Amino acid sequence: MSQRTVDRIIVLFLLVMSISLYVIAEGFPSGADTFPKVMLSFIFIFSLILLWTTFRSKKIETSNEVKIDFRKAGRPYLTLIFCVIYVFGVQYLGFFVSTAIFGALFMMYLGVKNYLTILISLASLLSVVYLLFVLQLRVPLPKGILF
Amino acid sequence: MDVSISTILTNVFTFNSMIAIFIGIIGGIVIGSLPGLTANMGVALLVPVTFGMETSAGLLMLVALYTSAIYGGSISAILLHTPGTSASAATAIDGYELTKQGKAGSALRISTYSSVFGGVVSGIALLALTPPLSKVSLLFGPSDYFLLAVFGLTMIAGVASDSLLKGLISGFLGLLLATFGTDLSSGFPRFTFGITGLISGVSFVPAMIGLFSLSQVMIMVETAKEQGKFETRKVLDWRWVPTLSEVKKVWIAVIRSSGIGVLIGILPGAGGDIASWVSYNEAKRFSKNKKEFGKGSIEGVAASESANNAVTGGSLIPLLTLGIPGSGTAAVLLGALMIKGLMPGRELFTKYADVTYTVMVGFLVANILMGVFGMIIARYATNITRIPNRVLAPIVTALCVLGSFSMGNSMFDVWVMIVFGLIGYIMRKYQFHPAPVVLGLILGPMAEKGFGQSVVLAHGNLAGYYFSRPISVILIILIAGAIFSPFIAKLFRRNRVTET
Repeated sequence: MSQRTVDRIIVLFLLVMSISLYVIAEGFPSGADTFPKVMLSFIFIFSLILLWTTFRSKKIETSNEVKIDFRKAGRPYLTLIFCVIYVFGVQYLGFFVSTAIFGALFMMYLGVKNYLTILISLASLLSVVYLLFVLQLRVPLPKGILF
Repeated sequence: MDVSISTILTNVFTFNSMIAIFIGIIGGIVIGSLPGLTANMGVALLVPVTFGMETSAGLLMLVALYTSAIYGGSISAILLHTPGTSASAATAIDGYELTKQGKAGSALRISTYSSVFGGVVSGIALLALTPPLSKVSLLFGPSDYFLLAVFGLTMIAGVASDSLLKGLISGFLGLLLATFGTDLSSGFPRFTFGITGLISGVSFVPAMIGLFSLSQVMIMVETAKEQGKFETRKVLDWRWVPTLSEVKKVWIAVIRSSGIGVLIGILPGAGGDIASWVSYNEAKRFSKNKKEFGKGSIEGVAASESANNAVTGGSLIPLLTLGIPGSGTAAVLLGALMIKGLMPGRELFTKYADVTYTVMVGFLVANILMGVFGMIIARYATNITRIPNRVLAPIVTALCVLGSFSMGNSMFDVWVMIVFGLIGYIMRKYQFHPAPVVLGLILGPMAEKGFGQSVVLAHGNLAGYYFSRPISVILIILIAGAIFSPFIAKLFRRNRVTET
């Protein structure tokens, strides 16, 4: 996919978003709507200019090819799914238990084969978190059904 | 409020402040020397830790981390040819050449002392320039803060993003996101979409952690599996103090580059990477040993390193006086200031003078201590840099969750962080940059208040109102200059090419 195509997709999203939010802002009381509307107008105008630049330059098409390696491209999004499951885990199992499970699984997914590395790094992390956040800063970290 | 030097020194040398500086320095050197981690990310992750701390100690920790992370970047640049931060890219050229010649000790020594010198010069400039410059902020009426916010966004948009247009879109998105939640004047909930957590608005700390830190994790995992072991080299020529011949060779470059660094730091939007490249080129231009550059010149290392650390103090000058951050990390620091209830401007030097001067003097102390700890740590730092991204990524993710939760003990904030992580990743992937979004989020409430007051005072003629105020006209000219300068520069470049 070329940089130009990516930019056009993003511009399309921005245009739809700014129009939709502008319509929502129409329902705001007078005064509360002014600033969001002005900001949305700026985003709309700049997006249109960005769209215009994608039609203007021929060089972009050839020089800025966005190379997608599908083997690697999925990893960040898979990481995000991991994170979502992890946050649910924090809510139900507590911070310490879910961090230990998530950390170990995530490291294994990323290719850490040495179990001692996983154990030492997670034990160090959780010890520092316990000493600093729980004992020193007294942050009530989420406790789940276990710890 | 008058504060005496003895009060400030007492504040700086309290146990809490010194511990904060110590943590900031060690954390900064470690984060800076790890090629996967950035100064922005480190400061963003540390902001929640400062909530439970005294104001001055918390801020000291952050500024110590900022300057130390910039220095830390040079260690991996010299030993591994991989700059830990973009500000050390110029250092990698000659630093690694020196390492290959078995002179890693010399490169690390010069880099450490030059960084300390640059940092101290910028600290002195900070102390000398901010009190008089803060008086400029008195010229601004409440209505000018909208233009000031737009000016800050324009400056950071130009440098942080590859395209000014994308940077501006990012900045205005940030200002828009700041309007989410209850409108303070009417009490009306805006853009909440029925989500209770959004009634109080988008908290910028979780947003910032997502935009800078979780997005960085997502970038790290792209290549984490394939990342090989770094080739490490032992430091054989270790000395604690530079030799006289080394000092003779670099002192002019260090002084010149520190000056350049401070000036570039003061220019809003320009960062450490620009300063180090400019200083490197200037050092080469004036050097008697031009041929050594690129083949292992300690002058090159000294110029780049003194300049990028001089930027740190320089970038705090517009931040503390006008609320305009000179770099992405300074934008995060602006957020930290505001969380502590400190508004940049004259008040920082009158009402909150004790905190401000403590931070500025502490910044100087932190730069000196950075040199001491740097000399102790640097030669063993390759052990730290060997930690692969596949181990770091899960640890940073856990810290992102922890940091975003601990701010308000709210799981909603953690979800906000996740959403902004995705937004930040997409933005970085496609040449937008999260720094203008963060700045927009931080400056949003102030900008909206200023805009609202302008609308009321303008009686329907907003342009006429702004053009009737000299300070507004100056700001409009500055904004226009920031927007059009890249085009003018391009035009000049094209003309020169045509002429040649």
